[in-house]
Amino acid sequence: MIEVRELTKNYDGKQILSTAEFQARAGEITAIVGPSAAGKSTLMRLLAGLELGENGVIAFRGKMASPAQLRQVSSLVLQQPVALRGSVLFNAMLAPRLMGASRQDARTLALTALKQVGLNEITKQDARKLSGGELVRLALARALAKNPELLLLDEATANLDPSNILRIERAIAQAAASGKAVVMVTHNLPQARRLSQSTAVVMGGKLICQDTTETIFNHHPDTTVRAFVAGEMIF
Amino acid sequence: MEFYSDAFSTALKLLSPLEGSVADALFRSLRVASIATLIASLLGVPLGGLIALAKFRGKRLLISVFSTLMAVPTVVVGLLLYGLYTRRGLLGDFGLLYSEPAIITAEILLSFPVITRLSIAAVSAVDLRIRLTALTLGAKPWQALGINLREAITGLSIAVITGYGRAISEVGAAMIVGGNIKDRTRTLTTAIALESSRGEFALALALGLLLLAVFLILNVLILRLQDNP
Repeated sequence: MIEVRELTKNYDGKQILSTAEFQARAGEITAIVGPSAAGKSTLMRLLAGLELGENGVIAFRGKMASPAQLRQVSSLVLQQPVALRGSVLFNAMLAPRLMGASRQDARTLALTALKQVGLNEITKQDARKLSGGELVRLALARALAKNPELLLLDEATANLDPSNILRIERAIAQAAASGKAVVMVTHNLPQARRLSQSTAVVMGGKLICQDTTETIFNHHPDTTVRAFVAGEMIF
Repeated sequence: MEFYSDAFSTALKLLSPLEGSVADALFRSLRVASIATLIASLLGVPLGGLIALAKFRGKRLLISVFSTLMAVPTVVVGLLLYGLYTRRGLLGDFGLLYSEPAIITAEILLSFPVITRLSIAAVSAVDLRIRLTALTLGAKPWQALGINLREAITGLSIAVITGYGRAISEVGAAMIVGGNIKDRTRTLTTAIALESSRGEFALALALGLLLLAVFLILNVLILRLQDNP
């Protein structure tokens, strides 16, 4: 569904990300793992069309996609999501309204998405008064209500309690089962192993490999990758 | 102290009921300042939002220009417009001198930099993640600007209130391009200046109190709107 080739991103003249090859398929969850500040979030912003790379290509459904085209087909749940002024329902209705849906259709899409993350009982609540876990669930509902073909999650379950993690993981799995390509950055290696079919490893500003999750976690030939997924202190 | 107590008691007597020429000046002040602030807000709020969000060369210099224009003396604006509106001026043929539209343009020029500069500050203070969220949810750049403006509603309300304050309280420009003509271009502030020069301090103070009362009511209304956008 989405493919990246020879993509690089610089900040202040210094290269911070280089991705030789990366792909995410429809109906699958692709995990991106790696240490902090390795370039994972930069890759997510590039995939979401929020930033433009210096070189390389991002192709969607086999065709080169511009940032504006990527923004239309994807939704990114930010590492630290933020609520917009207004109710939970207002937040969830935003994407469909922006995409041109009528108020009634947007409401239906929003309520379905809120139900998926278990927030359908508090639709009238001020979104800025939600707890951390509820806010992440709202951000996911907001993204799902857009009905994106590509769902991107940047450490969506970091610092959350097990019940919130479970709800989010269920919604992610459901999104993939419905045919979306899901790409998730996570520091939680057991989670990557549990949920994803494919895993990419990013280290030191470089996407060093991508393979099936089974291969990455059980018998990858690269010793650094093996050490990283085994939880060893490789730095 | 006797001066102030006498002035206040006279002021209250004069204001109840509102005397005809006072009411005329009051409604003109409100009308002129409201139209000027509305136009200045329609231009200044989106422009301020754009400047805050856009990255371009000379941005800091442009912001400094707006900061400087916030303090431009009202008399200077009045003189500049007088040069345009006078018979031999560029816009002399339109006969705008000593008219309400002349005062409105002066007040637009005074409140526009205030509203724009404060809008820049208000939108700059909005969390950067709001724009990213809007864009990833499918907003076009102009829709993302609208969402940012909505998030900055508190700061933008203050920008508009301050712009309105600058418009309704100015006297120099209104005096020069309006002429302070009774029942035609006299505003509350030019009336205050006139009554003070005549030694009618009680009436001048009464008009000042009226201006304050009106502004207080408007502030309360805007703050209530801000709480329930």
